[in-house]
Amino acid sequence: MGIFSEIFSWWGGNTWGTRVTIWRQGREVGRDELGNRYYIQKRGVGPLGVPRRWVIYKDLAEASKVPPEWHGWLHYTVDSPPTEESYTPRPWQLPHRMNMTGTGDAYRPSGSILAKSTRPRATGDYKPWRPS
Amino acid sequence: MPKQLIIDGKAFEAEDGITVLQACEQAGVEIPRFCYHERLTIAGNCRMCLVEVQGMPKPVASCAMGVSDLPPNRDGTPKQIMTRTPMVKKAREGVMEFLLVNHPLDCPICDQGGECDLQDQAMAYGSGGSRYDENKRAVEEKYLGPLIKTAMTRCIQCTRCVRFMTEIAGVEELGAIGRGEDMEITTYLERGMISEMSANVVDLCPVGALTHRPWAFSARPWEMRKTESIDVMDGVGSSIRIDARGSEVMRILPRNNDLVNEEWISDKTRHVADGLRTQRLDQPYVRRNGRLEPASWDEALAAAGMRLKDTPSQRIGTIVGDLAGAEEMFALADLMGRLGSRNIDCRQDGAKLDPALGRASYVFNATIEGIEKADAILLVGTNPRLEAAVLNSRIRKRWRQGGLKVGLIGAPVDLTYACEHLGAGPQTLVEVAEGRHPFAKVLAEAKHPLVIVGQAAARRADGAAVLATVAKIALAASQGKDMGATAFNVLHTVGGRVAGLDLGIVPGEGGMDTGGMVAAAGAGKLGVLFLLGADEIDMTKLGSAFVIYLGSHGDAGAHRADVILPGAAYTEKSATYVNTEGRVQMTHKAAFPPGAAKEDWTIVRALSEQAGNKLPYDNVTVLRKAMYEKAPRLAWMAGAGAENVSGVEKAAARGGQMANDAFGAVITDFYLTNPIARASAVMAELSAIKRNAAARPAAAE
Amino acid sequence: MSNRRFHPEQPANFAFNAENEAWARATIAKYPPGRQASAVIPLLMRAQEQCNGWLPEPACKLVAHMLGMAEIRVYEVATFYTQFQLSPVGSKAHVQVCGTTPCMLRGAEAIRDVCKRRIHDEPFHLSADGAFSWEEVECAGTCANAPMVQIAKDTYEDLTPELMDRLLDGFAKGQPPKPGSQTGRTASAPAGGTTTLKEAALYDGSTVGGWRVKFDERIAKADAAAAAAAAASAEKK
Repeated sequence: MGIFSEIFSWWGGNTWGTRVTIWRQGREVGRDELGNRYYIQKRGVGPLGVPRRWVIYKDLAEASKVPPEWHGWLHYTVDSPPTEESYTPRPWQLPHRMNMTGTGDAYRPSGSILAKSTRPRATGDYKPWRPS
Repeated sequence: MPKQLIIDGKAFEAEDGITVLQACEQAGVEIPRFCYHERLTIAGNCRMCLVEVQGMPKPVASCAMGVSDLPPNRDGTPKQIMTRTPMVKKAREGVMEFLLVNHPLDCPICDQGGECDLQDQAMAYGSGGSRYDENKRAVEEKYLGPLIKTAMTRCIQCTRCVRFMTEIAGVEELGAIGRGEDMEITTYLERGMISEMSANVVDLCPVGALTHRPWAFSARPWEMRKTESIDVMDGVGSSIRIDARGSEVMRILPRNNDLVNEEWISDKTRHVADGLRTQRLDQPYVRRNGRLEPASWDEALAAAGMRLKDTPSQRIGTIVGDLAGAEEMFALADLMGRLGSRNIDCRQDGAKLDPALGRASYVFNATIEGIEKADAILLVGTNPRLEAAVLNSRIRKRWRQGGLKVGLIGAPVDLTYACEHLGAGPQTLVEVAEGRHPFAKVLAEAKHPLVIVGQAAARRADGAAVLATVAKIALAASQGKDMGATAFNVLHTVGGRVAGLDLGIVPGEGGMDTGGMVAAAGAGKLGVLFLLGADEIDMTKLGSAFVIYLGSHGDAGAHRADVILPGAAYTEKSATYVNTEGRVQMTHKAAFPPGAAKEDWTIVRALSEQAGNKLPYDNVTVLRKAMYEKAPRLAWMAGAGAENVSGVEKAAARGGQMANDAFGAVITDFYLTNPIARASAVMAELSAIKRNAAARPAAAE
Repeated sequence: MSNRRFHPEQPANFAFNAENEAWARATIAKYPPGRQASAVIPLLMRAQEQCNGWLPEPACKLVAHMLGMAEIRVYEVATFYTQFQLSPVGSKAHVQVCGTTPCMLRGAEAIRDVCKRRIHDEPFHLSADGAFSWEEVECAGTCANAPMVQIAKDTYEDLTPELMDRLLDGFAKGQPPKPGSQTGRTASAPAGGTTTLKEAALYDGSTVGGWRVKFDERIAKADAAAAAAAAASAEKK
């Protein structure tokens, strides 16, 4: 985010105030492939009794943007961040996608007028005779 | 001698020969059961019908204990039968607990859920909880054919299916192998079952072990609207119940009608439901420049009506098909009559039946229930197993009771009961008629002889002579026996024929019959041919006649037609049909016809305006009133039988010479006899299986 | 838990040999016409014997046709009774080990272990050379001589694991031992020798008719007493 747009917009990335707070209290732990940055509290503990962990999103602050490997660390489920672990992803794993609700790519059930696929078979469907 | 009983405190007089269960049912006391069925022999293996009988230390299986077998009380008081005591309650809960021990927890995925005897009786008589911690046994799936979906783990070994196939269907293919916990119901080497009545085991099975395969996983019973109706796939006119959800017919089940089909329907009747969804005519078509193009109703009716108006009446022909109801037949005949056309025929197969001879000459006079009184049956040119499967099982029911002799003149077939093949054709018939054949003696000595003649005999070129000979045999056999016309019986193969004959839909003075119309069309002498759902004629022989087709399915008629008027199938209209016994019945509308299709008589009515001869009825009640005036018999929904024997005498008086060739078969493929059946994927699969089975060489003995 | 099924590999067809065919016809003739299905069990047993101890599917089909029964009815009978072996059995012996209570108490499990070791770990499976198979059966009726095995129509009783080994060796060589008790006792006679009826006089013919003599004596004594009483009362008068 540009420095000037950081002044007012709170819906993506950090504002100036947050930037200062991070510089004073946070230590960067790592980044993920989408560009989000992960921090941990330098001194003291957070409300859960352990050093607070947080994420600064790259563009839009959408919680589902956090990929699975960072999710565990971010939510205090696991202790070590992915940077300290050696995990080779499986060949079938897809890249992480955030929740598309509200965007143009949102899931539409088949049969919806906004969906591209045809609707499933319904009661009352019949096969008409057409002259060949 | 009737036996006095006290059932649950109420005095009851039971007739001799019934079981305790039947006595309790008659007294209004409900007794749960799984293996007992009124129309099958008693098995007594489920033990759910246990009741307490005074003086007996153990509970008694009421389905098997005859009322006369109860030991009398010493003091002469009536025996007490209790069904509400703690002993009975404990017995029922115990039996239910045992049945549920090995029964899988399939209710959510089981098709029988909602109409399951086990569910209902577990709720009503079970103990409400399970104490079973062990593993349950599982049973391999079996293949019983494409109509029956099996989940044999759910089987509770009531053996109803085994008894049905052995006794009523007459095809001993199911059996129970193994024993104890490992007892399984299967066929020998897992062949599919080849029987026209096999799908009735699905109704009999109290649990979801045997279910409808075409209907699997598609609906729950409470979702479906049930409509009572009549089947028109064959001439029996079985009572059916149509289960529909929305505007789709999901399945067809039998309805109890002791006079016609008892509780059974043939496989074709049951599984033709998916044919109602395919190949449907849903919009009118008009042929322009050699190609059929969709048209609006106005355009199509105008095209057809104009043609009818412009063609001279002797060049207009009408053939009424097999599945047409009385209302539309009457309307069409009325219209054609007003147009002056005398070329109209409901006998699409060219049967030489003439309504002018009297009703007894073209119906099954003995009635289907009357078969049970027969002690000698002569079958002429008919294969009841394929033509009327339910009627055939009625003959088999009578044969099982003993004392029935059956003779067959025609192609030798396996009818599921012992049948003497007397000969192949008219020569044997003449021998019987003249009393030279030993079977003539059998008929003369029998108290209730029946002669059943089928369409294979009636539709030959010499059909009138054949029917006359058969009528003579019937009259001779009923001499001095107070039988009325019941010895002479015509077996129809389609649902619409008898109504057409009742309405007199045969060529008028100088008119052409079906064969004549087809020939005239080919020779260019017929300008317009109106087909009311008639697909069985040879469409290639119609030359350049203008064909108007009014029907529900796109079969041969629609391909050839110049104007297609989409009508309703038998499940989509309330129409009057008369079965082969002459019983007048009505279908009821269970769903709406698809797309732009309309009920048939309304189309005829609309067409009549375009044809310049508006029919005077605007609603069906007025139409029916006019119809009943033409054929008062169609108003009588009550019964069948008791026709005037003069009809048979007049049929016997018809002369003619019989040819010598043997009687052929009316139905070559049981599963593909009408347009709806031909549109059905299930019927196509069954037909392919039957053909493959026939083509395989027989196993070495 | 046993699922009774035909073996997956079946011979192409089956026919009774001449002797069995004649016997079958005679058996069928025993029953009134219309009831010949009663002969199904004897015919199936004879077919099983002809096929070296197991019942192939073509045999069931043939028996069904001979008796005018539907094939499924014969299949029901063949699967109901465990005496019908639906899979091939050992060519030299099919060992049926009794495992019911009296035999169990006397060590039938050890006999079964011998079978498991020497023939096959599982019942109804052929040994490596196809000569043996075994199964555990219910009581074979020689409980006083437990434990025992039954092979074909003979029982071999009073077994120990060693005797069982010797028994199997004998069958493998083609020299089966004599049926009956394998420890040498006669039928169910006491194992250590007789404990009663030991007097020699019982066996030399001297006591033949001895009981009749005793009765005659008793009757004579009673007659004498009656005659004496009658004489005494006659005297009194």
